[in-house]
Amino acid sequence: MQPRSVQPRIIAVVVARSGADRLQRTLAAIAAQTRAPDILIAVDGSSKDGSEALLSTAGATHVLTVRDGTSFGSSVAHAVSFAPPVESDGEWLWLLGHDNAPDPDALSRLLGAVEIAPSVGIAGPKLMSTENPAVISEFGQTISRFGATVSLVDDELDQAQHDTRDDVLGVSAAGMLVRRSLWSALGGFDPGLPSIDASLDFSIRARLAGYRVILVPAARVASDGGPELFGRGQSSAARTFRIARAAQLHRRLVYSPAWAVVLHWLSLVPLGVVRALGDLVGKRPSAIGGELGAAFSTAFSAGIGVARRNLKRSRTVGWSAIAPLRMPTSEVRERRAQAREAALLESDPSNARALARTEPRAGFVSNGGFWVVVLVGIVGVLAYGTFLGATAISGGALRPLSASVPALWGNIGIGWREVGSGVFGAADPFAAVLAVLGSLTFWAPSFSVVLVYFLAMPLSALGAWFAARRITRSLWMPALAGIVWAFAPPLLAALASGRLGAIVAHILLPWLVLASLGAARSWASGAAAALLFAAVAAGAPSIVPALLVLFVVLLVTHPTRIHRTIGIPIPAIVLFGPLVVQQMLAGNPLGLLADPGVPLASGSASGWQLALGDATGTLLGWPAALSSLGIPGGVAPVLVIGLCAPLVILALLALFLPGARRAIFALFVAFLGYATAVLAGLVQVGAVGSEPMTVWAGSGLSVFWMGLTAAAILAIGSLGRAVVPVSTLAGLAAVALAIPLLGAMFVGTALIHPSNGRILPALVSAQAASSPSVGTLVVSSLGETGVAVRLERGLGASLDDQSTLVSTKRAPDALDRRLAVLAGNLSARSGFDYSGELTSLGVSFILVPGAPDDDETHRSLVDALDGNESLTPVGTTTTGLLWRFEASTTPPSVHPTNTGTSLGSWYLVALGIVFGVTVLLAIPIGGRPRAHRNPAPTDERAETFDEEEHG
Amino acid sequence: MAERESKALSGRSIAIAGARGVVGLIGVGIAVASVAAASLLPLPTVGTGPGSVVVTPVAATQQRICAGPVLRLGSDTGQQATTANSIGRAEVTRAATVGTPSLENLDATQNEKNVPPQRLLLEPGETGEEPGILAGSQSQFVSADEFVGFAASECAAPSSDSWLVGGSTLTGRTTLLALTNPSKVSSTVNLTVYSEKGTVAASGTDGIIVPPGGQRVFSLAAFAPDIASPVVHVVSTGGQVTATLQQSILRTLTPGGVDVFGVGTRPSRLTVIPGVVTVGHQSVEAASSLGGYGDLVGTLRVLVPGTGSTDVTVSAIPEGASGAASSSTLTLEGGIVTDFPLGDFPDGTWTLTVASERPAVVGARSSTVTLAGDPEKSLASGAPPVVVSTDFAWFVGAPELDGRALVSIAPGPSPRLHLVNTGTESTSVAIDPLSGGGTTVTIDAGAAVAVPVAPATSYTLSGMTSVRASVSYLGDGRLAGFVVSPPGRASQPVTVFHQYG
Repeated sequence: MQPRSVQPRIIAVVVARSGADRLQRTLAAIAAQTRAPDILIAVDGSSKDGSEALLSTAGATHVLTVRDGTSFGSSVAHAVSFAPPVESDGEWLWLLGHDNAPDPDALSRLLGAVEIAPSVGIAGPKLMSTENPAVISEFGQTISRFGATVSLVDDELDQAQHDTRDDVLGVSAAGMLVRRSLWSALGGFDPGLPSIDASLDFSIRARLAGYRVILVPAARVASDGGPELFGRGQSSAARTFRIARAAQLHRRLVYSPAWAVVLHWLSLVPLGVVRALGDLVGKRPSAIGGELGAAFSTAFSAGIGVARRNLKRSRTVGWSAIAPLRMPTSEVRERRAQAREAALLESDPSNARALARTEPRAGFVSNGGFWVVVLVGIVGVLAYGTFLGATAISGGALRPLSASVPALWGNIGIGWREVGSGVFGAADPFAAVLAVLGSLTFWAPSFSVVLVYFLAMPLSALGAWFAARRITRSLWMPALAGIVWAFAPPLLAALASGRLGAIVAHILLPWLVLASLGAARSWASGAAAALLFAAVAAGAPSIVPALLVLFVVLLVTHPTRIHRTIGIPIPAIVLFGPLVVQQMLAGNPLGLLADPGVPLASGSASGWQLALGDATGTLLGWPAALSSLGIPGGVAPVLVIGLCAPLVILALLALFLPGARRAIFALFVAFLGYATAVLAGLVQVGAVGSEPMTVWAGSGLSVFWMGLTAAAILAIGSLGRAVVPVSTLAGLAAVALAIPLLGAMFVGTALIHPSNGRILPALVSAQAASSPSVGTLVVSSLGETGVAVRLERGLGASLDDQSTLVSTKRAPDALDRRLAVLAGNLSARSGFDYSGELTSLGVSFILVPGAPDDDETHRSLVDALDGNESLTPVGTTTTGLLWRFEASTTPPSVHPTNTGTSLGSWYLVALGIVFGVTVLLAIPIGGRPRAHRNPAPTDERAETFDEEEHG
Repeated sequence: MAERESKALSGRSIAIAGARGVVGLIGVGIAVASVAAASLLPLPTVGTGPGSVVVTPVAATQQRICAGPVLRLGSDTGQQATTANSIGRAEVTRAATVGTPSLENLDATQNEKNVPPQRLLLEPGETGEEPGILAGSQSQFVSADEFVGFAASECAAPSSDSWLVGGSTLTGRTTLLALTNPSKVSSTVNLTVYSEKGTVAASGTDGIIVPPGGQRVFSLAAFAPDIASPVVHVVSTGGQVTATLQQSILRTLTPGGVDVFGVGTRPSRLTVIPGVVTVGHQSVEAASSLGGYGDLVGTLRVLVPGTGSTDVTVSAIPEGASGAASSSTLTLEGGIVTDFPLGDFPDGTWTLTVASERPAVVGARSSTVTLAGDPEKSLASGAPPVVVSTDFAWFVGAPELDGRALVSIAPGPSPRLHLVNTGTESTSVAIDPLSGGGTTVTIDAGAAVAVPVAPATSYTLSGMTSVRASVSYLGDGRLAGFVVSPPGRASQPVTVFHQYG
């Protein structure tokens, strides 16, 4: 009768939290409603900006204050408790935040919609962006089949395209009009959902209680954004993700049937870990913390039980009732695909630029890359054809690998190093590279080294081709770079002397450059660069200082991308960590520079020889090659300088041509490499017999050659019409320069030879099968200087057994001295007690490697051993003369493996995690290229290579 | 407006070009400066060098093996032609610089009744004491049936690789090869016999087992019959052996001399044979015209092992006169033994040096002959000379002596010590008998001297560098010689380096 009894009573609740600037407008808008709310209750969340004052002048029935951090739902609940008692069934609550300024007719439109449909429990307005009122901020929510929240509309221009919707699963809390009786029946918002999904959950529970939830397009309310932003203004992606994920998990536990709760609960943390790995692969590293945090917090949240009981109490219809309102999986997938595409096409200006670029790029097949790789591959197979059919390579710094994959992996980490007199400590980082390499040919690990020999040149050409394409637009320069890099003297010298680490480093350097340049824009590139850096550093520790300088340059030139590039050294740091600590504690930091592999002395090259790419001081084998042709050796330096001249002159010429800034950087790289090579020759890290073992200068020369090659192709690219003759000349000179080194296998100057995979004679191997710690004393003649001695156990120390920790030992230890005394007495007729010492050392065999005929020391050694009645001569073997000592027993060796100590085990775990994470990140799938926030002017000249292209 | 723009543009491009030029020159300057600095500056090295340990092997008992008495195949009745029997007994002179050497018989010979070869043993001194040098030599004059002559040889250290240059298996020439294994392990010996026709293919030369402490004697004719110029290469595995050759000559029914000689130097590019005695060359010349006496003429035997031809330069240095060496160059085929006659050498003592591009082994033979009457007269009369007695000796390459050596002079007629300085500077050698008193001789570079020594006496030689020495005996119908070996390697310190990997 009274209008009042006919008209439903509206209780508007305004919640403000430090939003004074928005609040004023919102309060004004409420006051301007064509259908004003009957009661206005204002809640202030301990605002610090005068919101409370605004609220108190707004004519509210109550102005309440809640603690800072109280959720929107709790604030509303608090307000409702202060509302006048329920008078009729037609009472409605209208929930508004401080940013939700309604249009003047919003409330009347909402009421209009609910009045004609008594089954409606909740009505939601169309939320428009505060900043741009023509854009819909949010308009209805639903869930997927698996319970993930789906926002029906996200930041779309309002063209009335969504105005046909009415029944939905959920609506936003902002501007929500809800039946007061329903609010009370459902117990308000779930306290377990502080912001995201709170209103969705509330709506779902309303649906399950038999009410309808509708959208009212005609009612428009402003919004600053999602509920997680309320009172904060902005939220980091990681925080938003964590809240959303926690909310999803919370809802999953609340909604699931009782029997499934335990299963869900148990799967929370494992699933979190799996999803975190997925985030790595998908290049969403910022989500990982949230993923795990949400899993743990939900697992130990007390609110689940309360929420489940609350739901059970209010539910009147089955879940099937709301099934039609869920979003079908196919539609979810389609929406995601559309979003990805839109992001790719619209948000990344580099793509637009790539599309707009008219200048062609070198094509791998069309511009010779493929053919260069194939031809260089043929040259590689011919040059190392001796190894066709071989299963292993030995000689120089090479030895066969361990015979089984588990043994290979057993040699990484921290454990007993069974080489020389043995030591407990950190493995060479290169052992990890060998383990990976050997696992590729798991049926015969040593065979992987044979493959490396065949593929070293073509793989180098391939890497150089792609790296060169990155820095030059010239169509044929990548092919030239491929040739120059594949025929680089440092690579061929390393191949001839079996320096596998330097070979691996040379092959990977171009890829490292490529990945590092891409690291600023892509997580996958950054992770790949990190792995490559670790591998290159492990193979050639001497170039690490130079690479770190370049790394700092990368950081400095891309300060805004530092979060992606700063992590590049992390895997290398973890890989080198134990060795660094141990060498530092031993006071031998220089030992860290030692090359991995069998200790091998390298000749000393003078400064000018190094500048010609000659690491050993043999002028790339030219004097020997010329003298065999009857040409005086004095011609060789002239010839080598002449053949190097095109590359060097072109590289320096680049400074005078346009684009000199990039050439300066390339020559800076060359300078670093040269300095590394010069210094490497001055650092003695140990000794090989009587010869000092300096660091292999070839690795530094690889860096030097890389810089020269880059500068030279930059120069040629700027030459215009002279390109063809000049690049042909440079390519031919580079190939000609390498001829003696390529022929090293045929003229016998190479130190390597095919091997049957055994390190010690077959008899020793057979014995080692039954007693793995059988000792073999290897005594070799050094001519007039004396003899060298080493002790091998079991099958002998394989390549992965080698340890720079042992080879850079600064002083012989007690066992070394005992071996020396033993060897000294064995090498001449002596009254020494051999039997006692051989037995106590567990030595059952004595091996004397072959020596030239006129070697008196060798002869005397053999005579002394032959005449020793305690030894039985076995005879000549492939590795030398062998004697057997019938030791009573060989003491079993009990040495800790890499998992034998807790330190070793924990280190392996850490290593596994770091490398596992990096590998997952490096897999080039998922994620999306990061948008350039502020695209740089396109014609700006760059300081380093990478600015040439942003593709 | 446009003009001003283009002016400004050209000005700007000039500036850019200039800047590029400056940058380029700076870059080239840095490049040149770095390479020059790296090449020319004395850059210091850092780090540790090779670590080595000098090990002095625990001193062992030193031993020298003396060849033993002259041998003959078969008994004196001509039975058991494959078994060696001894004739008489050799006299041994021995000495050591520290301690007293003992003399003992080797355990086993092929015939228990025989006089076995002997060995000298020197027990090690106290630990830390300088190890002594052991030396000994033996001599024997025999006059039994077809064996008449004087032989002297040094007691030698066993070796696994020996070259014996000398002997002959022509009619009337008997050459016996004795292999002695003084060690405690059995020895397997492989022989290679070279001749003027090349390597002799013979069965039974491989896999000769010499038992521990035993001796095996073979007639060289069994492997290489009718060979004028054999050279024997002895390679042993297992225990080391000493190898000696014994040559005896029987001209129809006239004994022509006996010699026992051992191992010279290994194949080397410079072989030096000091103290090659040529005496009575007129008599030798006269007698050599007789049938079967052709091998009285002195001979130099050279073998270059391997294949391919090699130039060989032979020089002869007379003792006492410095630098008056005569030399000639010949081209030799590898693997073929060549004998050069030394017939026109005047009387005296010569040092023969053989230099070759590839290593060669060398030996020399010289003879003494006593004729009835005055040789000049008989030559002038044209009547055939009447030979009263002959003897011959093989001289082998002498090893280089530096610092210190010990030589024992076995009894014999007028022994002399021959010293030749093969170095490039003059050197002094102190020659001190162990009994006291002594002399010092100074030898110019390339010169050779002879010092008379007393029989049955031992001398230390000290202070020399690059000296080679031998001992010769010369008497009526008696000629012999042996080389002086350096101290054994056994007691020398060894530098041991460590290999880690």
